[in-house]
Amino acid sequence: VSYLGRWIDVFAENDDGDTVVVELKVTDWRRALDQARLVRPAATNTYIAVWAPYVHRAETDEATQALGRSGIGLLSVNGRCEVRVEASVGPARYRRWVQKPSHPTHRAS
Amino acid sequence: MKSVAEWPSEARHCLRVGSLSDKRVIEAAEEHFDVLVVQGNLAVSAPQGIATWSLDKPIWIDPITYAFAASPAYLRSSSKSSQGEYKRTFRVLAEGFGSPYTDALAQNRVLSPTDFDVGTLAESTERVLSWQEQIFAPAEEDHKYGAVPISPALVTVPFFPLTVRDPSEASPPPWFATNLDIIRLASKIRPPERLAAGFLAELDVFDHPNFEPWLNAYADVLHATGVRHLWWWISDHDEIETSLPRASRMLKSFKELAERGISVHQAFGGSFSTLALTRGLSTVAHGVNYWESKGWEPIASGGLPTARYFHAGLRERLRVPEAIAVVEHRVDDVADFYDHVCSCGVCRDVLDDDVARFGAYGAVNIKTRRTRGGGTAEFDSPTPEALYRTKLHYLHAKGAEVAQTLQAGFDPTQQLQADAAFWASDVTRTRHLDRWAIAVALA
Repeated sequence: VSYLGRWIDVFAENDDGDTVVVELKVTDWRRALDQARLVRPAATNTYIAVWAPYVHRAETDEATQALGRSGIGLLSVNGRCEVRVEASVGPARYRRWVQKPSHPTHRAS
Repeated sequence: MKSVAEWPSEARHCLRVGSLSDKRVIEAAEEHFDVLVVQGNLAVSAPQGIATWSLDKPIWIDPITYAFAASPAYLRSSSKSSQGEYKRTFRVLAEGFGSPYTDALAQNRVLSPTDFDVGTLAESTERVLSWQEQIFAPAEEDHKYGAVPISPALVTVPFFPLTVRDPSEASPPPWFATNLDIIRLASKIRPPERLAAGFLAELDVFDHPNFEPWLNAYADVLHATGVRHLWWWISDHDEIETSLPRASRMLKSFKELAERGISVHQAFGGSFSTLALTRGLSTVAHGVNYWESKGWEPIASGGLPTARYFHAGLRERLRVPEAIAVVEHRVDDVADFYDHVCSCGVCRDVLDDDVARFGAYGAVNIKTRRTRGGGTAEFDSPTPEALYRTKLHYLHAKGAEVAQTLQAGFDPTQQLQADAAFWASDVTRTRHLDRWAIAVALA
């Protein structure tokens, strides 16, 4: 989906309007966090997801503090998805600026 | 446009127009700048169109003679149908300037200092100067309707880029002597007070151990010839990312040139240049939400336009999601926004009573295109309304920034430090504000 010119990796919405955003990276939790911080104003819950073999890199003291300050959660992904750090709920004030695609698509380069 | 016989001494803020499509927003922001700067390639594309813009502003032309010192590849059209021909605007410009500009195009090569011998120098300098004086003259049949020629605020002396070809070489850059010869010559064929020289240097020159003597040589020639105006352009000098030594060198140069009676005009500057208006700089110029920094080569750059919001506290153009993240960190409601971010008329119209309407600055249209594999891919581009709003806000904010800087009692160091402390967060950078504060305090 598009959020004011940024493309969000995963965007989910349930029936009561709560939204979840996930920014995915194989190894680089910092880049994922940078991207997640920018889209957090549009979502109720915001997560970064890192491939399980590398998720330990996102569980250092530095990473834990950075995630905590941002209110962003951490997912470990490897076939299945595990919540390692819960996201804190945000007001999602900018949700209205998320544009969902009319049909499944892939991102233009 | 306004025809003037001399430089308006009260002018402190120039706006460079890069596209005729910016006419509407420029006219809507008339009160936020003093002089309109038009590049030669734009002037030849629609001279009467620009001359009749309903702006009560003087005009200043950059003849972009330096464009012919760049690779001819940059002067060619990139469209498939053009078959690699030169863009019409550069062809017309070269015809207006005559030899050796036309020769360089015809021979598919860059213009070089050896193209200018004594005879060529005099004739081509005269042609470039008179071209600027006549480009905005109305067609003869329009005189009876009251159309009058637009005399530019200053006439720009042809200038070429100073580059370092060999870092170990201590001798001046290749175009150095030619540029100075052209200034000397121009001052003999026009009143020097009507002329502006150009100092265009690459960062390699700006960082060179001999930069100061080279700049002093320019100042000496300006002093000797009576030319009192100088375009200052350090190619690709990004003020946000600049170093403290470069920022300090720029302020020192402005101060020393001003002490020698030279009015220095920043050709492509950002907020740091605005702050220099009380430290030796005469005017700052930028484009319509672009061109706070620009390289002389390539001549034109393309790409899809992006809507960026100028954050007055950070003094930086941010992509809108970044601007929102920054604002969310510190702002709870509309009143907070007006107190800490911006309270210009454009922001008030956009936000109304809902801070989340701030996102309208970044509104996009989703479009679909065919991919090489035969599928489709979606991409987004800013809506025309979003582009217009970001540009109009930018011009309001830059006008306010210049006014604030010139206000009696304004302390830039204190303001920069306060803004850096207030906006510091994980989502943005503020180091440039601290760096500028140090440079200004040392100046």
